[in-house]
Amino acid sequence: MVFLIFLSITGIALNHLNDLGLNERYIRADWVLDWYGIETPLVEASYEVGGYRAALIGERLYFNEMQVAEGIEALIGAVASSQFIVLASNDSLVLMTSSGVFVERMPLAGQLTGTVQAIGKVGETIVLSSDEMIYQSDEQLVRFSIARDINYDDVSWSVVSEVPPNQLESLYDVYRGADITVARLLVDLHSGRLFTRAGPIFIDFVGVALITLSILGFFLWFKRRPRRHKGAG
Amino acid sequence: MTEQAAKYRLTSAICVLLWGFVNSAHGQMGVYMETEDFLETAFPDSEPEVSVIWINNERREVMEEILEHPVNALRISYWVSGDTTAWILDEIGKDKPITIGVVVQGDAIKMIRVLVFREIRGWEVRHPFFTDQFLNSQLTREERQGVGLDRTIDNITGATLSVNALRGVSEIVLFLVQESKT
Repeated sequence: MVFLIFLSITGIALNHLNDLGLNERYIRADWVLDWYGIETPLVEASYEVGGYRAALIGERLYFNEMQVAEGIEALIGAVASSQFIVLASNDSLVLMTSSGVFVERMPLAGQLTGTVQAIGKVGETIVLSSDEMIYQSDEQLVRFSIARDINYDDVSWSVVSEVPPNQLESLYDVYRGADITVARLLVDLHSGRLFTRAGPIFIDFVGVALITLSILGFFLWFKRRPRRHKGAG
Repeated sequence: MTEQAAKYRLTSAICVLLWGFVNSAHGQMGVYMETEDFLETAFPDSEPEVSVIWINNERREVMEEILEHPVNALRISYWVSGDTTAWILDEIGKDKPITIGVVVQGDAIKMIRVLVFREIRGWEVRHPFFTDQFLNSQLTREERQGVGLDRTIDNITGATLSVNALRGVSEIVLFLVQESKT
């Protein structure tokens, strides 16, 4: 009985995923995430920039606790200019405003040869190092060109800084809490997939049992149903 | 062959088949075209310049209507040479971003490619039998239906969300090309 109520409730909720916004709500409960085996990779690189923290965890780039890009192979550095805060990956730049608003993820293909190895600043000019060449940006941070007049030692290069423990904990919470939606949990509960591989088989078994019971019930009722007796006179 | 050896062979064959089945889904995820190769294909005879378009409120409104979710970028970079522009945009299929490259010549799509596919399902959209449908398509603006492609793009069963991602990005790009000319 309890099981049927559970199946009905999850079924009704699944019919209204979008109305209830369950596709956008994420599970944060540790025991559920542990059950799913969601692990948190270590922070691969982290930089402090303009009062913010940029950190790369498992190809996701975080700006404080906001995920700003995915599919980032390596975080090379971060610098702040008067216009933007610039986070450099090996093949693109993520631009943020000084108030922490996402501007764009800017691919660097066609602008320099090789991959970015370091990012720094000379005055207000953003500088990238790639394949032993130094490139400088224009004022609007749209185009890069080879910087012939800038020496490597003149540049204030971005350096790694460790994430403080309290911030690290929040970052890991955010990372773990971005994978399993309430909708996904409901689907897995309803189908039985949450309960190991035997779960769906068990649900199938229950389904077949319910069908059998319904058919048997109908036949039993049919056989024992009160019959009208024709009057004797 | 002994009975035990036959059982061993049968078990091994089943394991190999299962392993192949599991890997067939994950094997479709990955980089299908590097950005540099995409740009070389888009601009075989010239060196494109990088340009940007700023996303003001009016543009954002149209883009959000097309994609049916919030757009948080303030500007978008693209490459341009003559009347050809190349764009690389990320759009979520189901859970993960699909990196899509679109080349527009004049006002029509000249090429569309899936550069990176990160989803487990829906990878069929990278094949030419699907992407060829977009070739030479242009943007139409109708008062009732808003901005859209001038043709119907056939769906792929089981890949609806990836299909929507490609359709949405192609419409966004055509819209931004028009906007970049104003």
